[in-house]
Amino acid sequence: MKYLFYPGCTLKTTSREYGDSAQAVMRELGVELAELPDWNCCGATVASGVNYLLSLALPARNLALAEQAESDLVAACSGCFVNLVRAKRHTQQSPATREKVNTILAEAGLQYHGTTRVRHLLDVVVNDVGLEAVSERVRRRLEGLRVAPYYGCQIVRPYAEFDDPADPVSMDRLITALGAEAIPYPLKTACCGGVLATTKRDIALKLIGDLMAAARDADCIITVCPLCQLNLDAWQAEAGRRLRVEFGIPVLFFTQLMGLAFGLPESELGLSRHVVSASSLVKKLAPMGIGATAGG
Amino acid sequence: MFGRRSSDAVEETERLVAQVLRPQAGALNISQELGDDLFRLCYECGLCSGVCPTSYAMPYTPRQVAHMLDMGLDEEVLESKTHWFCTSCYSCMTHCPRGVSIADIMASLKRVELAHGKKGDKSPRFYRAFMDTIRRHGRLHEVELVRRYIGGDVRELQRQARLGLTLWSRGKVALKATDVKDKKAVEAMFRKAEEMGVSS
Repeated sequence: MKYLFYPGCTLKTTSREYGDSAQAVMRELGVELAELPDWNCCGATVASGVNYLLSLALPARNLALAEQAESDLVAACSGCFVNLVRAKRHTQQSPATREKVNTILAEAGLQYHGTTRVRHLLDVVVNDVGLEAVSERVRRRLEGLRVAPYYGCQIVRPYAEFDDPADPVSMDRLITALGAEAIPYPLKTACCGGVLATTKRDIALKLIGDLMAAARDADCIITVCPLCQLNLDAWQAEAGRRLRVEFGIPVLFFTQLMGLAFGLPESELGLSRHVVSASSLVKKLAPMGIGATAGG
Repeated sequence: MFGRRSSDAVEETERLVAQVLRPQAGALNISQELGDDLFRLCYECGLCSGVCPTSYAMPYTPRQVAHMLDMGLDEEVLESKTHWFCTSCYSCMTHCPRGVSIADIMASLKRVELAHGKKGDKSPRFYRAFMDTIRRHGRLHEVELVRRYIGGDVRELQRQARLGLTLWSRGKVALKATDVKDKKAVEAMFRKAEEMGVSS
């Protein structure tokens, strides 16, 4: 299997462990993620609040580049994912909007015809590769590990492309396939505060505190979005101080948890890059080969 | 009303009702900016306010915003700066039984405020800093974003510095930007979009 991959800005910088671990586990699964040549920023949650047409044209440039390559486009960041889907849908639903967006794209020598299919990496793992193939790759079942699956907003809202918007289960099933326990997490689709962690920190800290408190029984939280990961990882200590609780819960990308179960070296998974150390988590894991279902 | 013919009373009532329900365009003409006036379908069930993670802190709740726009109180809504509390989590949009997209309304309010060119506080400053950064590089360069956002705000600098140092120690801060190759194309797209206006 081969996909065109849209890493987005953060997978190269503040969330490089997401990009690295995604490449590592997909390679293990025999899937090639080829980077979309000369991709640009999707505009994040900001562009739609500045210029509507530009907020469609920025992701549409990436869609048009993928269209030229006649390929689906896979995004790992939920913000990128929702913007790509939004640009596709808005230009499909309104011919007038499509024309305007193409007028802007013409400045870049491109046109978008609406054929590119947008996928989230989690969707590819669970529905294309399949959980059977994933569990066959497991060399160290994560027995006894209690994992809170945190989906956040934009992977399922407003467009429920591959999972239920109120109670998504893709990651729950993935956790089970890795041998770990997916704990019930009632706030699995609650908001981390997004950009408010920078502009209105008090509010973001309240949301982060709620999310962490609901995951208190977990050994770790796993996420699908760089901003969710950064907010929960970097601000949980301060959110905890306000609640007089010390959380200390590692927040991993789902690809990092997969990598641990696949027995990949920690250096490939970027586990040392988190603010809250994941070393306590790694110590809890069974030694390699124990409890393995295949490979060994 | 006593002693008047009933048809007079009916006429009077109809006149009063028509006056109350007549849709008024607010001074800012938000419906034109939005490209629709779906907020007029709102029957004020308040689900949006219930599911909104930040409505507890908003000057006006999402339900109130929809109602105020229907009443033509665009300027009052805009001045409240409620829109900067919206995280784009899209909960309101997923739950609205009338198909009103509150999140899109919040985005259009942000656009109107920014287009009016006032300097504004931290939120508008952040939005401008973000767009200026990706206009220049085609991609986000976080160091430049933070530098533009902080400007001369020393307190904000102190707050950001701690996070910056932590991320630096984890090898997550890229000092140099990785630009798109076709920077001219990105700049031309920005220019064209500005020429075409900020609204839907």
